[in-house]
Amino acid sequence: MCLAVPARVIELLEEDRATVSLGGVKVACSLALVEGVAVGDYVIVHVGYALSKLDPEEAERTLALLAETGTGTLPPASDAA
Amino acid sequence: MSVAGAGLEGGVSVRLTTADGRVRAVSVQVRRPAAARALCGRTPEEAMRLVPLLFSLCGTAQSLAAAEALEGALGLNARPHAPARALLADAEAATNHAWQVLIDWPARLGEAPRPRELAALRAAAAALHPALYPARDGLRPGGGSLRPDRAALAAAIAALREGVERTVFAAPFPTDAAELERWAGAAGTPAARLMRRVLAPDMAGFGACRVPALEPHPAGWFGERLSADAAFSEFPRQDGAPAHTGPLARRSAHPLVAALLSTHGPGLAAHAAARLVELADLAKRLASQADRLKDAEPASDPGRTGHGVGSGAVETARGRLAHWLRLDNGRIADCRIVAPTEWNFAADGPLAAGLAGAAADEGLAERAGLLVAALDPCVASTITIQNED
Repeated sequence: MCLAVPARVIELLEEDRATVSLGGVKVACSLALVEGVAVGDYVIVHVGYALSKLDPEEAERTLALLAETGTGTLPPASDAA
Repeated sequence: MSVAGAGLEGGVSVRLTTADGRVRAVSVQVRRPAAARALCGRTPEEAMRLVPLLFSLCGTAQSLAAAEALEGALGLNARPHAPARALLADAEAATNHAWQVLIDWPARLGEAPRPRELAALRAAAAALHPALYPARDGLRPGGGSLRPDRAALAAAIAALREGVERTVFAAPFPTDAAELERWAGAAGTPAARLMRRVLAPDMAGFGACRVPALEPHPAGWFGERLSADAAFSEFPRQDGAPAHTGPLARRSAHPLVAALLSTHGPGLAAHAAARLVELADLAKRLASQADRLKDAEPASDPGRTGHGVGSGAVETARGRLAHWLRLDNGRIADCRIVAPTEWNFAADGPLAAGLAGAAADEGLAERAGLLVAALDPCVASTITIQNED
């Protein structure tokens, strides 16, 4: 069961890609599934794809909730298929 | 690709140890977030607001399972909303199958993924909720104000169906094994090429095992087990044994899938065909489901005191998802969820059993990757192969 962890867009890259900050870790992801994403926006990322844009309030609420329940503190995995 | 932050959303790690040309040991581990815990202490309204925020891919199914569980606990009768809910669940399942077929399968074939095509399908599916419930309140316990907008529904369903037919099948979907082979050889879609790949002799039966299918148990079956044992959500069992859930478990009686099962067993070919059969069927049946919809009102509140237990179960693309919860003084005192990934990626589940004893040659990594994809974890996965020769 995957969890929707909000990630903040920190840099737009070529070919519809972006660097996002996911729990403090910089990750590259594709923006091909979402439209109109700008630096500073929050997106939900699933296996390398930004799925949807969140309003900042919603994102903060989710992040606070994840922190509260301890689900946001798992150590990062090294890579993924 | 590096997805360093994947730790936050969980992950599946598969470790294979090989010796003398065989897989000698298999370890499958699921790291899952304790998402159900986030719902404890919340009121039903708060919980229902959080569920779609917490779950990215299966937000509708998770919301429907939670709503059904809350309805049980609150004594709400939401039966008039069942057809609209089935439509929403089916559309989400179709887009999740499409994710695998348009993103994951091309990657397995070394081709470019097709996110644009997937984005169009996701947009069509997302248009259904407002077309059914103008106030977007359909996922509330007791249901919302169901006022189907026939024109908007027909447009969204047509876009979904047309998109699936064009990007996945590009031809009438085969109905028997001989047609499947012809389609796989001729059609120019990633789905056809993947099917051709898994029909190869070294692939078709790969991963076949004796782990039985999870039966379509009612919500109460899951509720009894989740309530009796908190560990059931991480280590679920059917008759004391592991089970597999998902398209193959649901579609094994379809003539095309049955033919592949009898020739190759429950391996890669049967898994892939079952997913395609189900995707074709979902895309087709949305329209007839929409035709049967009638207006409905939210269930009236019987005024219970806010104590009670309830369970909910929904078929998702990956398999059967179930929730159980207990309400105390109007708040969720306990909430437990068992998701398909826990069945399919159990330490002794269908992935582990399907990989045990497999031939260990240079094609093992590809075949193991395809089997992981067939069982479709909802989190990122890694496969490590260690040779002890």
